[in-house]
Amino acid sequence: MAKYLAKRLGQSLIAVLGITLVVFLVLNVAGDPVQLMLPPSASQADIEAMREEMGFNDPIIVQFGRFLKGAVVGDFGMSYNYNEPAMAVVLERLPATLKLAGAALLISLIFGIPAGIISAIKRNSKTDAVIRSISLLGQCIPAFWLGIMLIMIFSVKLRWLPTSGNDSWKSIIMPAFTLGVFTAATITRLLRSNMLEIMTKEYIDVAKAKGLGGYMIVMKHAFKNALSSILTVLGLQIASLIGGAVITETVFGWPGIGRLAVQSITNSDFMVVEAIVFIMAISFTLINLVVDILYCIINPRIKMQ
Amino acid sequence: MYNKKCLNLNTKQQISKKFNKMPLVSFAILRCMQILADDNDKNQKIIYKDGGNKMKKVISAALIMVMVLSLITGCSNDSSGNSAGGQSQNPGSSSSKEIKFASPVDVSSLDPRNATGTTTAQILAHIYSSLLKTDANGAIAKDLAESYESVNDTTWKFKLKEGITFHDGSKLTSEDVKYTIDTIKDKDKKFKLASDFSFMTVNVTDELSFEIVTDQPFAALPLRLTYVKIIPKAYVERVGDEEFAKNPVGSGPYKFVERKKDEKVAMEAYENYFGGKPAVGKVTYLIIPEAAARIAALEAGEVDIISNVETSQVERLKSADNLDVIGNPTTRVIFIGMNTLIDSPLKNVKVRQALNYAVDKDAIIKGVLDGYGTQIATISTPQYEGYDSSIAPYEYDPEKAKQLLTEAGYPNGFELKLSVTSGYLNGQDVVQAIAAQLAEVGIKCTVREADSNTQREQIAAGTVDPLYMNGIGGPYSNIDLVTKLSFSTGERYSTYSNPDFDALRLKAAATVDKNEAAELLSQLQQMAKDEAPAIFLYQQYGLYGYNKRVINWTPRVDEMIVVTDADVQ
Repeated sequence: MAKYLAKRLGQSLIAVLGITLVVFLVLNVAGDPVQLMLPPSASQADIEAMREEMGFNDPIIVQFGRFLKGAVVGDFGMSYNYNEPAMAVVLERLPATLKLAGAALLISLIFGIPAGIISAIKRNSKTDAVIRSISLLGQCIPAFWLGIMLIMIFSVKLRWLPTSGNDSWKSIIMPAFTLGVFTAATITRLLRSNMLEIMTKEYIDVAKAKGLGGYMIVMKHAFKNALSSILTVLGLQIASLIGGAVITETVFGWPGIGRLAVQSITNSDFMVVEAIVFIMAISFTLINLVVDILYCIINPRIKMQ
Repeated sequence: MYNKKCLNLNTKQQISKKFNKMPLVSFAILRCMQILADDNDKNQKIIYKDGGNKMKKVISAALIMVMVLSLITGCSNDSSGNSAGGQSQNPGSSSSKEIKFASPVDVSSLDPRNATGTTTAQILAHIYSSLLKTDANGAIAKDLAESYESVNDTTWKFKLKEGITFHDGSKLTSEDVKYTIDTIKDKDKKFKLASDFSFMTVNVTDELSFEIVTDQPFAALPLRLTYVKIIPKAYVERVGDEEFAKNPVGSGPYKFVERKKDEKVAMEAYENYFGGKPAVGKVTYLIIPEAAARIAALEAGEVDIISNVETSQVERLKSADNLDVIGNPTTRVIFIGMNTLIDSPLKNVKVRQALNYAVDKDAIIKGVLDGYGTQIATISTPQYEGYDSSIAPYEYDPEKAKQLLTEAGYPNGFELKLSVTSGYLNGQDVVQAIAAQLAEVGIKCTVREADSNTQREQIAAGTVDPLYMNGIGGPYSNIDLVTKLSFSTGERYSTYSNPDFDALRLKAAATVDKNEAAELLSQLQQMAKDEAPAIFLYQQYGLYGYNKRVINWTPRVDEMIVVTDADVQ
């Protein structure tokens, strides 16, 4: 176990390093932050002086070395836009994103799991058809459109919920729903198909032969086994909830890192972009690692190698 | 100032626009098909049989729960708890009155020495005072200064009003002015405004009097001084620059209360404001990046004033009883820049003039901008000091354009690339219209949408497309700034070079005498027209939606929303 963990951690570290290297290179090719750091009226000489001072004239390998040295201790340099340490700018917004991702995940589990089970049990019934249609819709509706529609209905018409911001518990309802719908639909559809698959297995027949009740069969035998197989998908969904809230955060003016990422890219605030990518890369690899470990625990036949 | 405000909101607007335009039905069908295909694959997967180890399953279930819960609880200590979040808008005493206004982007810094961009300037205008300020029409007025005069070409004498205090109660004196300028200039502190003030020195005479000496004659000093907000020396020295940026103290009509990044800046009236306590007790600036969400917030009564309304939304807002839209000319000059640094027909002045004759500005303003634009002749809006109204814009005359093209040796026209970035009011549509009009005289344009930053870098590198839409304006813009930034030899964002033009501009910039300067600026505008370094188009309008309960609020030419004089009914 320890050996496996060490190996996987090592792999994760290489992955994070690789991602940061790619981002660093791409950003360096993409633009010149110094142009944007100084006011338009600054002269070419000012720019050169600044570039020299910031070390942008050094060979790229030297720059990356310096970047890595800082990154190890969480120092990604100063944000040009906010005049604060880049990591601080990102960490300040991370709680809002995690809160949103958590709420979205909760919503998707609350809706997705029961819907998936019911759909599977009542296969080909009207209920099943309704659930399948809704979940299909849930995966097809663009977050942007859904968000605006929710605002129009619940904020403008009914005046129940605030249109945007992060002011009270009411603020999170619409963005979390918008973000959670896709995951809920994914869980529903996956759970349904997995449950149906499992219900044809021999051990379910055995359970039936033992005279177990429908509830026991569904929950103890079918659902638990189906759950293990949706774990991977769930892990990836969590990671993408954290990283993929760009549109939702923008529509609802949610002060998270997705919006920050877009802003920083537009402003060529490279230090912040690098810090965000670093955080996202770490959360992706960590979640993957956790999922793999969970997978092994749930199903001992998958050996830790 | 460059169009920084616009840069920030571009991507989001683009995202929203693209989604708006996306044929939803076909998109949905496509997704459905994809998902159905995925499902089939998933059904093929091997599903592992029950391992039968109960304990492990319990652990795994617990771990999943922990993951979920930690995601939620791990962030419960964020700062969202302490805010009121109320939307009470009941009028009454000044302390219970509140105005909320919204724009797409957050302020860059609350330390005025680092403050760039229009959005930041509009918030600072509430918290701070400056020696001089501009009124809603862009005319220079006194703020902290009781009086000022130019003693000679490089020396200006100032006297401060008596009895002005900062929000912490301390008195505002000449020393604070000196400290502000000195620290901005301080190279070690690396403030963003450093290069704009590096040529100024403050010599304190007494508590309320001082002189500002410039290294060379600088006619636009009064305008430049409108953007240096005076900071309290004692407070800043005591708490340090970092803390000051977090908890700024100024001498403006509103005190800083709270900032939540990317969310809001809250302010409350300063009772001892030297201009009299404001009528409205609380002012909150909300950051709402998405255009549709801003409209919704206005309709839901959550905000009172919004900026960056799209022309397509005007009718909708006007149809509501309690809302209205106002379009106001701004200091932003919109033109099609010409890259004369690369080899192209644009090096020929006749071609450049022909392009100006070939574009029907009136039709564009009426047809594409719904009337939200005012045609301008050259580099100046009517609000700029030194504007010469006698210089008429190029009239629309395609025949003349063809004739000029023939004289220049291009009777059959030629092909050019024309690029546009988002951020200008209906910019993409304007550029399409221009391309169609240029085609009429034989100039075929390939229109390309470019990313703002990329285009800026291309302009700086001199590799930008031969024709590109550009706009210069904002709180501190004037003829000199527009000319310097876009049409001067060797300037970063200029793609035009003409030593005579440079010499004339520099002479005007260094002429402190107003009449003499006006004469030179008039010559500069005439020369800009004759040399035609761009297709001069129009002055951009700012479109604001507002709730009619707000009174005494005037939109400003410099694109800022300032509600210090406003009241609510």
